[in-house]
Amino acid sequence: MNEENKTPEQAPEAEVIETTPAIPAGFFGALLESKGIAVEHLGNDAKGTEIIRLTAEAILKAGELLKGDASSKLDMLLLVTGIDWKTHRESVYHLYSTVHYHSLIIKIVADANDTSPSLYPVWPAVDWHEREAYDLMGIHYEGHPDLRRILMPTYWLGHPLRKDYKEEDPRLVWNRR
Amino acid sequence: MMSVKELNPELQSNLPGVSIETGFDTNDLVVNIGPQHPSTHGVLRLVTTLNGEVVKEMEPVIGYLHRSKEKMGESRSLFQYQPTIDRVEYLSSFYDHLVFVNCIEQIADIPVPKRVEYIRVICLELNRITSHLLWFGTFLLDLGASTPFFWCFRDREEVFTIFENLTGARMMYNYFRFGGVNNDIPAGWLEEVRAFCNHFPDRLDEYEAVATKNPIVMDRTKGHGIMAKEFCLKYGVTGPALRATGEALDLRKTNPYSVYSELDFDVPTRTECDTYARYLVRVQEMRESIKIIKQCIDKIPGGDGGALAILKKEVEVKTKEAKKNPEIVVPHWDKDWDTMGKKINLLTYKPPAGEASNFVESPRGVLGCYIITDGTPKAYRIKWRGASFSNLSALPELMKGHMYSDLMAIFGSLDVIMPEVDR
Amino acid sequence: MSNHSHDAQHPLNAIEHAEGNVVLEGIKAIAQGFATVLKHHPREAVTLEYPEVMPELSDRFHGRLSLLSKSDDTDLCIGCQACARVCPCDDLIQIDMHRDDDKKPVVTRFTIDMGRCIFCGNCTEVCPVDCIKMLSDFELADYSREALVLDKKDLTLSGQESDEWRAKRGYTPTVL
Repeated sequence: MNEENKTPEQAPEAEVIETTPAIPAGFFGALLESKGIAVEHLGNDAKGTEIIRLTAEAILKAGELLKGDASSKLDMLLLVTGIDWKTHRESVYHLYSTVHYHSLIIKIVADANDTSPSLYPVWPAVDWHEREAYDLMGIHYEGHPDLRRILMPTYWLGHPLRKDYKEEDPRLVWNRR
Repeated sequence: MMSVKELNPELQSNLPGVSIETGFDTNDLVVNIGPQHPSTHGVLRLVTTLNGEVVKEMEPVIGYLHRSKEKMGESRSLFQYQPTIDRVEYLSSFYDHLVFVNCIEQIADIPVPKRVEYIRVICLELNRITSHLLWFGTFLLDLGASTPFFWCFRDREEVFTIFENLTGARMMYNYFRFGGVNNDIPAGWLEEVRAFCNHFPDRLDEYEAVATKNPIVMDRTKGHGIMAKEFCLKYGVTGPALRATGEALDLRKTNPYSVYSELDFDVPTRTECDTYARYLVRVQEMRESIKIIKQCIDKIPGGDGGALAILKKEVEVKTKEAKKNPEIVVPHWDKDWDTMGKKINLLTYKPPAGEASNFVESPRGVLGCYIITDGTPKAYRIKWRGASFSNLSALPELMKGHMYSDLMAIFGSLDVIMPEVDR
Repeated sequence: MSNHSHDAQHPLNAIEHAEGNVVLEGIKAIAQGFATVLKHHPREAVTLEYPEVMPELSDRFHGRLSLLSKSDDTDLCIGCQACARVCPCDDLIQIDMHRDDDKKPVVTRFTIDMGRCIFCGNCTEVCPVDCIKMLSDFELADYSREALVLDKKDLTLSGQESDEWRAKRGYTPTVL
């Protein structure tokens, strides 16, 4: 193979990337509290990512702040998880910063009617993720522009990932386990 | 070449001037693509509204491959669930295993020996190559070139044989364990990997000679499917698609996991944001993977498997004898050479209650797993973040205003794999 | 060609030059592609003429499940159900056992539905007596689903075959 067969335009030199700076514990919670938003601190998860719980009223304001503030800049939404705690449902949002490379987990408890505010106005990336949480867990996101089933067929009844979900099909095994 | 600064973030809505002045009434045509269209690489249905040949609206219909992987995780013990993880994303299943075992390792605080980390990185990077090779072949096949497809499969099979010698399976490996790996590497395995690393760059040159500067490939990819950084962030698009916008977000560099902080490699980026840039980033990534694997082979503690297995047996025997006869000298054994950080009875293993989330850089972007355990052998909740899920959600807006014939080129450049989308 | 063809600085010419280059480059790239394809012709084929030529499989290959025996052809399996408990497929392995007068385990039934097996190898990993193992046999096609449910007689290898297997894979059995 001669020289001409090499890639015509080699990728430019990758810029020097800083690795994750160690952020102080409870950094995001303190940041929100300094702006007058009530935060429930839930410590860190096993990997060391900070977890906070916010109220439904405060979430949109807090979201704008976390996304816009120069020291947090959480501009990418990675994951939305719905969790069934049997007594109530909870949404978990995993956020990441493409500027500072740090991450945060926000939890919001859905109310008795399983409604929770949608984060679509702040992070449009929640679109499909919230649809999935609605489909499988039955959490209704208020303010979501297009809340429909996404993985299950439109005629499906019930929300399969709930702990009390029973499917009567004898071929399915998880009811017995 | 346009730089990212010149690109208007609003560019998406008014891409190539495709308003067609016809002078007569036209109706929109709804075309149903899939769910069995060969170019969707899985079962994806795209309900497309066309104005002439221009895509006006598009709605992906997913869920055909939904196998309820998350529900399965809640109904099986962790070890029982592990083989089924391979099927979440079968083209790079080592990555799914990595996030899964990492979560449990962090919840249960299980140490991972150095040797295991290096074996894992070799597997991961080889897996990245096989995944990118399949993408390379099928992407060009979608563009009409069938020759590279067979070449890619030839080299892919070669790597699969290497995997088979290690794990016993060609695609569904089930190899990583909590705090270790299933089996130590066999004798001569590192040499096989090294031989592959030595000849693969030449093969890659051959692929590139066929495709990279080919005028048809360039015409169909350059300037099409432009995704600026803001657009990527809006939809959570990650991986090579994000790196083609000049944003060097690679979790291996930015948030190093495993032993990536000890390895020297570059993060290939481009600034053109188009389909061709994504192509070049992926090809360059394969070369970087080779670089990483070569370093791992040199650095792996304990070296190749054969001699180490003999030494391990000797240490075991001598340790037993030394208990009775203190004069016997036990050969030196380094903790780093172990293949298990902690002995775990897989039959009855119960991790403590806790939660952990891990994100790694898979060939398609940021792959994540979020596990909540409650002290029973089963997980309380397992959630997968497939990179393809977010990447696919960007497709409808990305396709708006593009020609129908560009659909498969642009869709192919996102490297979406359906089992990961539907899980 | 226009009359300013010699003036490379002219903006119109710049486009023409560029286009000329694109065409030339394109022809060059295609020629290079063809040359690369031609280079493949004398190379040796990588495919095998299966089934005349069988592939060389690795020692760790995940193939058909089998039960090894002791060297004297007696059962190695103790019917502990460990393999059935770690199997990700529901009820794939079914075992019936009882204890005889000397409190020794006797396995009366051991069936594996190979049609539903996903060849993950979990069962081989937890077996306390290294009895259930995987062979290199991958040709499992049959005419009915029922024929794929292997019973104890189909699964058990003779003592000699078991010894050969152990020797080939360098196994030191824990209990013999």
